[in-house]
Amino acid sequence: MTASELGFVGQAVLCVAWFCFAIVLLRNAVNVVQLAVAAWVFLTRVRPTPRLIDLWDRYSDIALPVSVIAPAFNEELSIVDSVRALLALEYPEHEVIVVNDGSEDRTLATLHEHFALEPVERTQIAHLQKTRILGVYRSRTHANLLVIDKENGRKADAANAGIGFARTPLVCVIDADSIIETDGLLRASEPFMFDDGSLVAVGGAIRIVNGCEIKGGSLRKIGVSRAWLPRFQVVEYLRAFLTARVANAHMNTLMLISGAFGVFRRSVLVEIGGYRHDTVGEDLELIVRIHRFMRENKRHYTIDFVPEIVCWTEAPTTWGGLRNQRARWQQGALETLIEHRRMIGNPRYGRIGVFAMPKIILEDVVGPPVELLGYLVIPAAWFFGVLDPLSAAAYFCITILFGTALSIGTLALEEAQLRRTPTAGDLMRIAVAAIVENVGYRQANLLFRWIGIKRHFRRQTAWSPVPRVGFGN
Amino acid sequence: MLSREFIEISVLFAVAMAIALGALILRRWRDELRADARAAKARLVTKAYLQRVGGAHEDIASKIVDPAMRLTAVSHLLALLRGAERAKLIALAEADGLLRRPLANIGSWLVARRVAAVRVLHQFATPTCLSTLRRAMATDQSLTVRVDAALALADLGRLPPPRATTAMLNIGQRGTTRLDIALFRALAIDHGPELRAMLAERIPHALRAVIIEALGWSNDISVVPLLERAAGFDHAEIRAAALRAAARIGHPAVAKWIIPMLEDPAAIVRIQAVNSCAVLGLRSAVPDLRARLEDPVLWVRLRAQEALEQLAPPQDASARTG
Repeated sequence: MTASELGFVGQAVLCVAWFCFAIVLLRNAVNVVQLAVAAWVFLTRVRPTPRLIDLWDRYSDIALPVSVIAPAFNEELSIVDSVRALLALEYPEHEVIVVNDGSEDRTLATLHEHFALEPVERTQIAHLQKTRILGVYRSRTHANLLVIDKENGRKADAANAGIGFARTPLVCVIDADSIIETDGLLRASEPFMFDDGSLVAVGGAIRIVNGCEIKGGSLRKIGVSRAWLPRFQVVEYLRAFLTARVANAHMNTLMLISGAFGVFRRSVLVEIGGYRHDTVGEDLELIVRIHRFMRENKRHYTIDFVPEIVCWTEAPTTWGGLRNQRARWQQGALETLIEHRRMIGNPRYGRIGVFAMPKIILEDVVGPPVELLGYLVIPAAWFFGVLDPLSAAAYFCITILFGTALSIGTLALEEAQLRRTPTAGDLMRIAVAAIVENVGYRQANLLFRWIGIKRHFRRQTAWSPVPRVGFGN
Repeated sequence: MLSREFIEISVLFAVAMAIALGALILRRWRDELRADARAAKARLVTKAYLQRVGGAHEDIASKIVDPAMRLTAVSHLLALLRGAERAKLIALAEADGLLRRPLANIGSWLVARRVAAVRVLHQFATPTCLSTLRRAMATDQSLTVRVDAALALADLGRLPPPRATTAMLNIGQRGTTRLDIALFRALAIDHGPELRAMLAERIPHALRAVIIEALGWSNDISVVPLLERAAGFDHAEIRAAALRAAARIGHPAVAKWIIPMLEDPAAIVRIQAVNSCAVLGLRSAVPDLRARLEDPVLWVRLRAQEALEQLAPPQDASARTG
């Protein structure tokens, strides 16, 4: 059909269709570049010291002390195991600071019972939290365990409280229900050994613990969940951590260190005021603010990512939980972009402003709703004869087929370089998930992001729960 | 027209990725099928080396020629054996040609491969390995490789003298890292005189601080007067380094100049002076430490409080402020 035959509506639909096409193509181009860069990085990088004993040999005398900060809210069932696992981390000098964020259950009482807590006077170095500190306790049985009891203020506030009490040069902020591998802290501190003072943060890979065998708060055996939803998320997390983060860190444009695990220079966190309380995407916002602060103050800095550092976390097992999580992430991304909008496209912020921020807009703001719109507009345009069938087919190829290819490519990268999937059978199961996720799950996620966008503009800031099954023993 | 190209590209990309993953899955499956057999071979290789170390002439695993498997077995045994047995194992590994590949990889174009080679050579530490490591430290284009070689040599007690190490690793011309500190500490015992001689030269402040701190690891109490002079330097980081070194040396003579440094104008020096008093157990510093509880800088007050908890009796509650 020619433009004159289409009429105004037809032309408008066609324009929308091609716009959707262009955006998806652009996203795919970015993802392919990330995959290629990640593959190159894995191929050429110097691998971290492989054995724990070598790490210990090399760095035990010079490793910087670390405070592990674990905000906890209603964790009575798992807190003892989690804290024991944190205390057992292989590291020359580390302190565990558990921040009880106004739990309504017996989290604090459980800590008292199992760790013989006693009140202690401990000056808070920096008051970063917005709520009141109700008590500070030291364990009589574990000298490096500190428990902070405070009013509820959500995770960011709890993390800030912990950062304020930390006295070590480095802090490691985690989720209380995350499982760090025993060498996680040592591996995270390794980049700081080669650092001349400019390294401000190190992130690690987050992997899905669903299907794994956990005992006493520690990972005993890696497994892959039989359920589809966690398996889809395994693929997603691999894409995020093994391609995007690796590539972005290599290009000095790493914009996110997961709240489930990150090691930071304490002084920088205090300088920038810690996490923000008024956002649901505090982890993204923190890193963006670090970039902004360092660049505005013209300080040389780096943010690193080490894929060998692995922190295991539970993925939502219900569609409702997944929806809440993804909507929250989307809200967080929007809040961050709006808060730091002056950085977008601004050469003053170097490659962060010129490339990284626009990339977030493409991948997280414009891309998802546009792709979703495309799933509606393209078939409609074809049905009404506005769009030729080949173009309609092309759209589904560049979304579903290309997306599948990216997922499979990521999985191949993981197997070639890290080999953390236990067996060939598990690899096959994840590979099948990598194919199936693009038909249904991918589209559902786009819808959840759309929900997040709506929640943002409706200013719905309540933390929607993500039901947890909990780690079984 | 472009639509056809996009479809083709998508299909090709998907097929390429599927082939790559398929090959990797097959490789994994093959490895799993052969896992038991491979484990048995590895045990046989390990047993063979142990027997040969024990004096056997025959290599019962002679048919297993996989150098990677042999190298893994030897690496594992190296962590367990000591003395003459270890030396014999290394000689056997060399005779079996296991070091050929790592020695060749030192010249690889890939930095990662050179570093991996350095790590293997570090384990074996034969004369050839040591000379190769020294050459890598001196001449490799990549600072990463040179530092890794330096760490290996330091662990083996074969680090080049301080001036050479400084030049090879560009220490003083770039930001100082914790690894630099570790390397100088390793040099301190055997190269104290040269380190002291370097202090008489015009060197960057950062390098001077590293050297002064390293002298604390020299186990040589004759450095104490030098540390005292460094404590009067007009650069705060150097004064702080002198305090750290003094705490490490642990000689009672340092007390007379450490305690006055509790009044130093620079906060980092006062903090270090507090730390040093605590490490040295200087009860005579308690009154001055109590004065630091009113220090304008929070970190000084906190460290003073911690030091007093250690040095002053716990029931002395009047000391607890901050």
